[in-house]
Amino acid sequence: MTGHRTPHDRTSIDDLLAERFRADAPAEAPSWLLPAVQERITRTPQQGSRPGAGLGRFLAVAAVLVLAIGAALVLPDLLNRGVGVLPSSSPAPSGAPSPSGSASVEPSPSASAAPSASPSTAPPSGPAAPSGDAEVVLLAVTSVCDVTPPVIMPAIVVTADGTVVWQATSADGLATEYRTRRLSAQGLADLHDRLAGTGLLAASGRYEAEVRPGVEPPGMGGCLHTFTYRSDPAGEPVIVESSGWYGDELESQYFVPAPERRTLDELLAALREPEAMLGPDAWFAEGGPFVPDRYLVVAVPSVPQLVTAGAPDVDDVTWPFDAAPDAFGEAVVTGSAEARCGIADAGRVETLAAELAAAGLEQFAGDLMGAGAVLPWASRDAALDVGIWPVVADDAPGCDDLVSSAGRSAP
Amino acid sequence: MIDLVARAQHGDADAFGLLVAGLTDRLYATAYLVLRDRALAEDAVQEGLVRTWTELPRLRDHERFEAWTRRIVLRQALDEARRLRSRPRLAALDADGALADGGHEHIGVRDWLDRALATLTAEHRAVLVLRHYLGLSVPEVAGALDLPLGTAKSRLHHATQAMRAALDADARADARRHTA
Repeated sequence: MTGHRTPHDRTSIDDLLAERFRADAPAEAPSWLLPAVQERITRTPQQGSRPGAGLGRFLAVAAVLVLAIGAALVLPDLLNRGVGVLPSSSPAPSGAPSPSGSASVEPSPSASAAPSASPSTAPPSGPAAPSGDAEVVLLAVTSVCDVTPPVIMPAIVVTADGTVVWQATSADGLATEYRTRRLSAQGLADLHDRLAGTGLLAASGRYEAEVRPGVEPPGMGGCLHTFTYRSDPAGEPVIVESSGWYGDELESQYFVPAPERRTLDELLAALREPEAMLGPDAWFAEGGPFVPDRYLVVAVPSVPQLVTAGAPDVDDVTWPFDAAPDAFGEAVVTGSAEARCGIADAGRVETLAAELAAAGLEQFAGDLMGAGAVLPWASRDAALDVGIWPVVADDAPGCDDLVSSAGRSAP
Repeated sequence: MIDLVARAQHGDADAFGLLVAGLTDRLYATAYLVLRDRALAEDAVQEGLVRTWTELPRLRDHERFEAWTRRIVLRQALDEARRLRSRPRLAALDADGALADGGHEHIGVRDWLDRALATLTAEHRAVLVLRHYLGLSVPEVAGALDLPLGTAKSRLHHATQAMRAALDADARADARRHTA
């Protein structure tokens, strides 16, 4: 056998394999493969975007970005302004139990984003409801991940009346729908205990991933978790920021030990599943989907090459604002693009969504919890990226919050 | 909001096309190395990408799009392999542990490797491909295959051991042939 190596050590086998794989791997996929995929997806609806579906998974899907930029990003600012996330005053967001107490929150059976919460009272022998103000945010946790532009997702929001809004997570770890449920007084006290038990939310702080001297970690993305917390509804919030935990192996290899980051990462993981974290007895009322009654609309100039297949011209749809797409609301800058941003009533946004859905943009069909598409804009010889997200609070998300959140940087 | 993943999550097929255009070659090569069959690899990539599209709205972390897509395509590839498992066509080892088919031929390292790889299951080939072709760390291999870290380590160890055993066995058989 000429020229062969007989590998007796791991390194040589590793090298041989790497060399062999590189030589054997096809340099390119067949040219027909990608067009075939694209052809198939144009007639394949995404999960939760089927026309006519009931409370669609699309709600869950869109809610990722919806509440993300809507609620969470806005929340810290709201806290600073003393504005609650789930106001009890009219118009109250659907699905958010009123501070007067709700026995249950009924999921909206329709695609409408109209408020759907129904007043209710606590069961005579049931747990007591928290007496706090629904406009006071006790806890808001967001994660900002360093994509471009950054994506900010609220993991959980808790107001002083015990209302919790969170983004549910599927068994395989993917984001699903946003839900809301009201804690009992005892459940809220238990939550405070859990938060205090970390020992990390008593004072503001920032815990960043610090690279060990002499090592250079591989390029890794990361998320910055922000915990905004009031242990006393009348007090000032504590803001704790923490870089996401990369796992024991990578952490020990590249980063200075940081038990605080690990603790906060574990806390966030638990908070993402509040029903499991706090148990079945922690609740004052049944939960349900979170349904908004107004929407944030953002329009960003785009490139015609990205126009979504089947999208109608911007000039031909019923715009939900009195002003044109390049003049409505207010001007904001997201990244390098100048956008327009405004908040519209659910009915007007649903009209737009229905037209887009009828044109074949299935992401706008069903229950509208957030959607986006690039539409042609003939009169400007351009394209417009239109995004719609639900508003989760009385006057939020605001366009300023959207901009400020988009400008945040991950670790 | 404006990034391609967000657009694709909202049903923008063109954005999805732009996203995966830069990934398809590598995904195809990975699937081929795992499956060792071009037609099967084509099926795995195509089905995997369509599945990526349909499930994309559920992706929480946009930054993980590439890793997530790779995971779906790999899962598809391994499903393809499992479907074919009832039709074994892989080389068998003889009593000495050497590769039986064509074992008396004069073969080089390339053949050794190919034949040894052929003795592995697709699951074991997958960990080797991810580790040595894509250069992923072991935790990344675990994530790509949706395995607990310990399982990934164990699978990588066994795959490497199996390769070593097959190669050594062939070396012994080759030595015997030369001294006979």
